[in-house]
Amino acid sequence: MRDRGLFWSPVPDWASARIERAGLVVRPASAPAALHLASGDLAAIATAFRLEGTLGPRDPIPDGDYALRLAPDRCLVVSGAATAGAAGAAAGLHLSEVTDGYLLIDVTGKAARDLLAQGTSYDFSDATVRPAESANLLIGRLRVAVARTGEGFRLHVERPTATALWTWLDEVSALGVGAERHSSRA
Amino acid sequence: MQSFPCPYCGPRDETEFLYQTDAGRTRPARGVSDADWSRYRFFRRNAKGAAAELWLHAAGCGRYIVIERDTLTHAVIASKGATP
Amino acid sequence: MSGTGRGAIRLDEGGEIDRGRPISFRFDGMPLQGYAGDTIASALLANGLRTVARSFKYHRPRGILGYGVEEPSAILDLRVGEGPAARHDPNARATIEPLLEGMVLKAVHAAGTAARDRLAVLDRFHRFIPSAFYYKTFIWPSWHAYEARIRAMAGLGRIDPDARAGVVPHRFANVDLLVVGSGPAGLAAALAGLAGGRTVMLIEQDARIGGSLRMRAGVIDGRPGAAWAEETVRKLVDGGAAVRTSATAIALYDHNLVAVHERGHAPGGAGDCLWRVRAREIVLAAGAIERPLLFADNDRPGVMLASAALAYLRRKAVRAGGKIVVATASDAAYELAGAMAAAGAEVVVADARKTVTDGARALAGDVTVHAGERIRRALGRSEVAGVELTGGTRIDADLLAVSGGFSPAIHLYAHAKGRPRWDGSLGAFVPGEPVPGLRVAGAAAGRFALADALEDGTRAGRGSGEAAPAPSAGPRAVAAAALQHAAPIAVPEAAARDRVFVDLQNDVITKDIALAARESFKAVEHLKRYTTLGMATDQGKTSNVNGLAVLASITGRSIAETGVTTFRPPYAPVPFAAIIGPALGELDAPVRRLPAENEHRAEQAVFDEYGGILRPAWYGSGPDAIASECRAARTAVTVFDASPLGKVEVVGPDAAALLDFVFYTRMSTLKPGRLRYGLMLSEGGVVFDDGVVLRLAPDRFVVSCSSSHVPAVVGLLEEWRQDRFDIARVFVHDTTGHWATMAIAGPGSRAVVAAIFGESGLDDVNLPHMAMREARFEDGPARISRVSFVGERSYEISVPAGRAVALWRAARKAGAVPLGVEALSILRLEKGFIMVGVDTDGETMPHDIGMGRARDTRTDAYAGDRSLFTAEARKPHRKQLVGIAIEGAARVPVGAHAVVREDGRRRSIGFVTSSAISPTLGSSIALARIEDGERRHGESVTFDHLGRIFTGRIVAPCFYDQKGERLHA
Repeated sequence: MRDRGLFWSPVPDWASARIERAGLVVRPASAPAALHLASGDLAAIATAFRLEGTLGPRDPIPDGDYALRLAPDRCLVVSGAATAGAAGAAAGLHLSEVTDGYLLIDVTGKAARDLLAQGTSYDFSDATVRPAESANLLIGRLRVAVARTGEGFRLHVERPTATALWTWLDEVSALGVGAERHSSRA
Repeated sequence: MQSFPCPYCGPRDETEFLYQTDAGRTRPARGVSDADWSRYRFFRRNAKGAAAELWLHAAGCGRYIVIERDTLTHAVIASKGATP
Repeated sequence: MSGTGRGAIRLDEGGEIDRGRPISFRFDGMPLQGYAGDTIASALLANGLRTVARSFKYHRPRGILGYGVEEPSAILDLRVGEGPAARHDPNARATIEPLLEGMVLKAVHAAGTAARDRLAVLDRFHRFIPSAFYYKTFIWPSWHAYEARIRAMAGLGRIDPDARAGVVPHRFANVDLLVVGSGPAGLAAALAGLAGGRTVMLIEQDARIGGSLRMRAGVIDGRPGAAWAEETVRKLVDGGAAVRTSATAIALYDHNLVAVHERGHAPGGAGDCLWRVRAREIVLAAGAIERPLLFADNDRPGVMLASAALAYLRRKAVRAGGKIVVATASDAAYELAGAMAAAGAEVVVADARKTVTDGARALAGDVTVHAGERIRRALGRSEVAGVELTGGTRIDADLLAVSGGFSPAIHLYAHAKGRPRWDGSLGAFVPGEPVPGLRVAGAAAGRFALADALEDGTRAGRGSGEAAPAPSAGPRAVAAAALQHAAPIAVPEAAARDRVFVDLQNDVITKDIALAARESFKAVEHLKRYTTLGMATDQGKTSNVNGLAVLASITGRSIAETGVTTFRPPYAPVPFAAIIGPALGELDAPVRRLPAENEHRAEQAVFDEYGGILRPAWYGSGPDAIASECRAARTAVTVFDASPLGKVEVVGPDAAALLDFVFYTRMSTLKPGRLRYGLMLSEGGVVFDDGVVLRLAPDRFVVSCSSSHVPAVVGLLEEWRQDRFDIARVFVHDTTGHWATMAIAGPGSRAVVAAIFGESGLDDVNLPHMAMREARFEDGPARISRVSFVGERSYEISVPAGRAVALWRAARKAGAVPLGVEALSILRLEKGFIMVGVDTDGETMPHDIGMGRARDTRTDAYAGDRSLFTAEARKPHRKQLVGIAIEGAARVPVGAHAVVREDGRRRSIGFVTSSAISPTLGSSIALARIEDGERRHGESVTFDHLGRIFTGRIVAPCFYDQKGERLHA
C-alpha cells in the first residue's frame, strides 16, 4: 500500500503558519478563549452574550465578542472570556462548547477580496440587508463561516478541514492575486 | 449553474443546495397500505414546467426550503422556508 | 520553398505591431521573424507563407482563412519556454495566439511539413473516400480492427505526455451588466450601463478593445472609431468597469452565468483565468463572422475571408497578397478593395450583383469590378494562382478575398435557449424571440451599420433602469451611405470532378452533403453527424450556414425549413486545464485531518484515507505490524486515535423524542451518564448508520456515529428535526471537531487510564461497561466512556482537540501500544461487529443483522418503521449476517460469492462482506450475508471468487469471546 501520508502535506504548525503575497497576508487569528454553538432565538442569544447582534458574511467583526450566524436559529459565539459559556447557560441558552473545534484564519490586505473571489461566488458587494443570512459559504468547495475584518476577512473553519483550507489559500494565492490582475490590458 | 434565492440567505449558487424531493409530501401513518407507502416513497411528479420542490441549503444555513420553479425554463418563481 | 515571394508584404508603417521589438520563431523548421503585436498567423503571412497546414482527411494544403476564433485550418503544434514554464499546445490556433520569442511551430497534420506532406497522396483517392466511407467499408470483422490505424491518419495535434499545463485559477464575479464584445455596440452598451449606475464588466476576445472599429472606417462623436474606442475604454475603467481583453465568453449557463476564458499567453499557461460571471443582465455584442464562398478548389491556400484580409492589413500591417481578387455579393468587402489598392496591390472585384451600389463604389475607389460574376474555380496546383470567373474570364491572383455574407455570433443567445430565426433578406440567422436578461446588439443582432450598432448598444446597455440616459444621449456616428450586408448564398452547380469545400476543418465537400441527403440524412442534426460538417474545434463558424444552404438547395427546401444545429458550449475551444482550475493534487478531493496527525507521523504511522479522513493504517514498517498491533490489543493494551468518531450533540427539551424517532433503538429510556448502541435507519428501513449514544443530561445527548458518516448523520437528525419537531425545542450541534478521542483497549487498559486520571471512580461499579464519567485532563474537561469496538476492556477518552497530543503521549507513556485502522478492523471482525456500508448495503435491514427486536416490539413512530413491514422486508430467505470459518490459510476476498447448485445451475446465495486472517485465532475468517444465514449455522458453503474456490462453515457472526467476558477482564 502506498503511504498516503506522503501525498498529503502535514498539518501546519498553526503558531507560525503564515502566507505572504503582494497585498496579502494570511495567518491564523489568535485563538479566542471560548467558542460556542448557540441555538434558539438569535436576539435572545445576542442579549445573553451582550452583543449588538449576529453577523453574516458581509458584516464587519466588531472589537471584542461576536457571534456568526450559521443558521436562522444557530450561531457561533466567539468570546474573549472562558467563562462566557457559563453565563450563556445561566441565561437558559442551548449551548455546546466548540472552542477547539474551529480554526480562525485572517485573510488581510488589498488582495484579500480577489483571493476569496477565486473560491466563492458570493457577492460581497451586494448591500441587501438579510437578517437571517448564514455566514457559511463554500470557499474552494470547503464550508467556511466568513465575516469581514478591517481590510479583509476572517474565516472560521472546522479544525479537521483547516489544513485543506490552508492548502487552498496557499496554492491559489501563489497563482497570483491582487489589483494588478484586474487592470485593463486594453 | 442555477442561482437559488434562499429565503434566509439570499441568492446563492446551486452548488450550495441539495435537491430533496417534491414539496408538500406528508409522511403517512404506519397503518398505510404497501401500495400507498411505496407511492409515498418512490413516486414523484417529475413535472415539466411549474414545480414546487424541496431543497436543502446544505452548505449554507442548513434549512429545508421550498423552491417553486419551472423545470423547463429553470426560472425561479418563489422560495420559502419549509419549516414555519 | 513554395508559398513565398508571392506579393504578401509587411507595410512599413501602421498597425498594432512594435517594429522595435522583433521576435524570432520557427515554423516547420524554418527560422522566421515577426514583431511584438503579431499573432502567429499575421507573422506567417508577413513571411510570405501561405501553406501552413494540411487538411484533416485528404491532406490537402491549407492556408489561413480567418483572423480570429473562426479559423478552421491554421492549427499548429506550439512549443515555447523552457523548464517548468515550458508550454506545449498540440492544437494552437494561429489566429488567436500572440507571437512569442522562441516559439517552435509545426503543422499538426502533415507527415513531414505543411509544404511537403507524405500523405498528400490521399487526396488523389478522394473519390473513393467520401463521408462515412470508413464506417461502410471497414466493418469486417469489426471496425475496431481498423480503428487505430485510421485514427492515426486522421485527427489534429498529438498530446505530449511529458508536457504539463499550468494551473489556471478560477474567478467569480457578480455584476449588474456583462457586455460581451467591445465593438461599437459593446462599448456603447458599457457606457450606458455605467451611466445608469450599474456595475459593468466588458469582455473582448481579441487582445485589444474595439472590434470592427480597429479595422473599418467610421467616425463617432467626431473622432475616428479606433480613437473613440481607446478613449471610451479609459472612461469605462476610470468609471469602475472591469475590462478584460483576450477573454472569450465560452458559454452561457442557467440564470445568466457566463463562463469566460481569459488567455494570459505567458509560457506555461500562467496568466490564464476562467471567470464565472453572474450578471443581472447581459448584452451580447459579439459581432458577426464572415462566410466564405462556394466554388471549386475554394480551400486553396491564398483564399481568405475579406474581413480577415482587411484586419491583417489595418491591424497587423500585413498585405496578404499583391494581386488580389475580391469576390463578394454585398458591399462590405469593398472597403478591403479600396484599402488594398491604396496599399499598392492590384485589385479586381468580382461582384455577383448586376449593379454595384454607390456606397460600395465610394469605398473601393477606382478598381475594376466584374459585376454579375462569381468565382467558378480557384486556379493553381497547390496554392492560389488565379481565378476563373463564371463568365470565363481568368485573372491571375495570389490572394482571393472572399465575402459570402455574415453570420451574427448569436451563440450565447442560443445557449440561453433563444431560438435563432432565419432572416432571408439578410441571409443570416438572427436572434428570434428575446430571452430574459439578455439583449443582443449590433452586428450580432444583424444590425451592421455603425450608427445602428451604437444606438442598439446604448439601448441595450441602459436596460430597464430608470436612472439610465435615453439612447439619444449615447455616442453617435455620422451616417455614411447605407451599406448592403445581405448576401444570398450561391450554391454552385459543381462539375463531377470539382470539389467545393463547405467545411475546411473536416474536409466536407458539397458532394458529401448530397450523398448524405441521398441516404436520407436530411435533418440537420443527422447531416452534421453523418458528414462531420460543423464539428471539431471551429464548430462550423464559417461552414454551418453554407452547409445548410447546400442541403436546402439539394432537398428543395428553404434554409428556414432546413433549420440549424444546436449551438452548444463552448463557443471556442478551452483547455482542460482551464476547466479543471486549481482542483488538482491536494486540492482535488481534500481529506479531513486528525488533531494529532503530526504525532502519528512522528510515530512512523503509515497513512491511508478512510471515508475521506487521513488516518494511521498501521505503525512502523514491519511485515507483521498489523498482526502485532492486534495481539497487543488482545494481550496487553493499545491506544487508537478515534477522534473522528461523531460527537453530535442533540440538546433541548425534545432531544429524547427526536432521538427516539431517528434511532431504531429507543434512547429516551437511557439514563444520564449511560451509553447505548443503536442503529439509525433510512426511511426505506435500510441501516443508515450505527453509533453509541451518550446521555449527558435529561435534555442533552451525544451521538457518536461512524467517523465517515458524521455529516450524513447530522443531516439525518436535521432532516427529521425540521420535518417533525418543534425546531425551538430541539437543536443539533456538531461538536465532533472540538473533541479528540483516544480509545484505550486491552487487558491493561484500566491501568493506563488510572495512570492518567488516577484510580478513583474507575472501578466497575462506578464505571461499568456502557457508562461514562467526567474527569479533568490538563485543566480541561474529559469524558471517560466504557465502550468497546474490539471486544476487550476499553475506555474511550475524549478531551478538547488541543490536548489530543498530550493525551496520546500520556497513554503511550503509561504503556499503551499504537493501534491503526487496519488492526482495528480485524479486531472488530473477530468480534463480528459490523461496519455500516461495509457489512451492510442498500438492502440491509436491522432484522438481517440480528437486530430484529425493536422491529418486533416498537409501536411508536420511528424513521423507516413502515418500510420494515413491506412484502419485501417480510419475504423469506433474506440475506442475513453470518460468520464464515474458512478452511485453510488463505483469506477469502471480499465480494466472493457463496454458490449453490440448484436444478443443475449455479446460483449465488450471498457474499463475503469482510474477511481477514485472524492473528488471534490463527485462522481465516469472514463475515458474509447469506440467504437464511441465521438458520444455516453449521452448514458448509462454497465461495467462488473469479474462479478461485474457498470452502467454509457458516457460524454465528462472532469468532472470539462469544460470552463477552473480555469486556470486563
